[in-house]
Amino acid sequence: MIRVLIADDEDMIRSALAALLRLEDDLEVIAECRDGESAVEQALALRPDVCLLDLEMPGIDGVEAAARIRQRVPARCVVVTRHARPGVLRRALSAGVDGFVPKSRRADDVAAVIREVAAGRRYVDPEIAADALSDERSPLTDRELDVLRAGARGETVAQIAASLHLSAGTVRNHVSSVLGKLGLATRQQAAILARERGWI
Amino acid sequence: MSELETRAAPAAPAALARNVTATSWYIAVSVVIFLIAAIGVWGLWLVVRPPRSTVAVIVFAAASVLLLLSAVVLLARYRVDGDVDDAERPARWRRFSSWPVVVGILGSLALGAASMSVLLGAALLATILCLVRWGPGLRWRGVVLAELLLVVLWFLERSRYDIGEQGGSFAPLFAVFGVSLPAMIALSLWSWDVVLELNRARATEARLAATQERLRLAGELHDLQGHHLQVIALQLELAERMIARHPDAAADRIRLARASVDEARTGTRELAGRFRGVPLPDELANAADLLRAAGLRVALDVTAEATDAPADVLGPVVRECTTNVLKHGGGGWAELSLHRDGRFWRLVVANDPGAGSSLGAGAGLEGIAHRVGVGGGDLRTQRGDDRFEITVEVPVGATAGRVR
Repeated sequence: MIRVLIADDEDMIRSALAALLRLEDDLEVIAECRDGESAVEQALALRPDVCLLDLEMPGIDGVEAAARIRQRVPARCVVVTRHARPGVLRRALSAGVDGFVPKSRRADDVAAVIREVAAGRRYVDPEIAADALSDERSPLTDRELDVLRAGARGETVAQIAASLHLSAGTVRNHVSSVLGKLGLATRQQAAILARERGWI
Repeated sequence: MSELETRAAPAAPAALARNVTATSWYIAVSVVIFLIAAIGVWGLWLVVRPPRSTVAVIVFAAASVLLLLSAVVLLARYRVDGDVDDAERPARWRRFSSWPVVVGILGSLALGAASMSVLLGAALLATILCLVRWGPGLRWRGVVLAELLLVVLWFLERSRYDIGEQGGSFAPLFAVFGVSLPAMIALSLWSWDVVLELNRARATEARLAATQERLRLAGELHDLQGHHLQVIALQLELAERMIARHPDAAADRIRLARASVDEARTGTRELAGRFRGVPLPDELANAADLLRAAGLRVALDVTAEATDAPADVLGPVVRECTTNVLKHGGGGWAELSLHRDGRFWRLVVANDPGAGSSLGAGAGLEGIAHRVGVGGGDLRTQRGDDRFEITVEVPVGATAGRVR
């Protein structure tokens, strides 16, 4: 028997998926959670074999929950998502997530992935991998991304300079270069674009 | 005119961006050269006029260096401040009370003193102040006032510009390289701002086109999903009516509804796929990033001309190989390389065939081999003890268009 924990904040999807997985002879759904925090809590208490975590959940997301669970218990983690932004797959792989499937997969496919992962193999859905590969590359340098990240909440140039230990002039040079590369007029627009594309 | 338009139309955004950069540099360099020429002419006058003073020449030369240094720094700052909006620029008093402005003012005063000319001192002073970014509209008024003052000064000083009995006077030269100095600089900076503004407008235009494309896509998506949702709703309604008396027929209807869901998904993906697509080098770099994130050591070797490689033939190979390596996990390293060899593009993907990590395990590879073959190319796999390798060769200029 493979003991499975399911976490998804959408009740209809979670209960339907749980009911379908319970129909499989070798799977046992031992917990259903509606957010990342309770998934981590339950995983630590019940020690499931496989955790099926929705990516988009209130509070901590599926990748973060997987990272916290893996630190404490030897459970294998599969992240389920509706729309995989390419940066997320990279993050999930570095966090040691064992499986990545789109939500559109049928329940028997998900069951097959759970078996695969429980047997110690990894599963990355080809659709998600293809999306991640056809992602637009960021034209910005790491330092320029640092500047955008440090100023993402409307911080002034002086505040960014202080937090990155740079001079205000250097920060301004980076901002100028970012706006030139992206063809934008303000730093706020650049930060919004970078967040949309998953660069920061 | 029409020839010019047809030539300008297909210019790539990258080429346009390069032209903008070149224009910026041209303006900056011409400002500096004009300053050097002006100082040179005044220096020449200082050397040839009768009571020559070595001290004055030395002071003049040293002050020139300081002035040019300050002008270059101020130009660089002007350029950076041109990109960011006013909230991001230093406060106005900080722009004026900074070291290049102070050095520039001292330099111009020293040049005026060394040449004993109020005109030169005043013209250079106005030029340095011109290079600082003023509030909107302020610079123009300042320049007009300064020009009036400079004309008066030139008129008062003009008899001093003669050089001895041999005849000849520097007065006409100084009208150009003294009086007109601030106006020339202000004009150059103004055209610099216009170029930057045009560049931003160009980027906005490109973004607008992308947004329109996205809107069109949203419309198509709405039609597609609306159609499938209607089919699904009808099939489910039918199933609900039939389920009591004809359970088997109802099950058929439900199956049809699910098939319709699959169709809708496939259609949506195809629609989105038309909108995506990146150049092959980017796809390879993304693959390397993903494999690194999965804990592999990755060597990526892509030729600079790879943007010309046929992404529609080689892209699926990269995707298939990357997915296989990621899926099967394990393995310690991977190599990706893309080169041009005469009339062929050669893509090589290799990894270690250790514990279960096999590059070519996916069934998709056969389909790809077929597609590569139809395009006149060739796919080979080679398995060694410590290396599994896939080599794909396609002729330069091949596309998958005919095959699809």
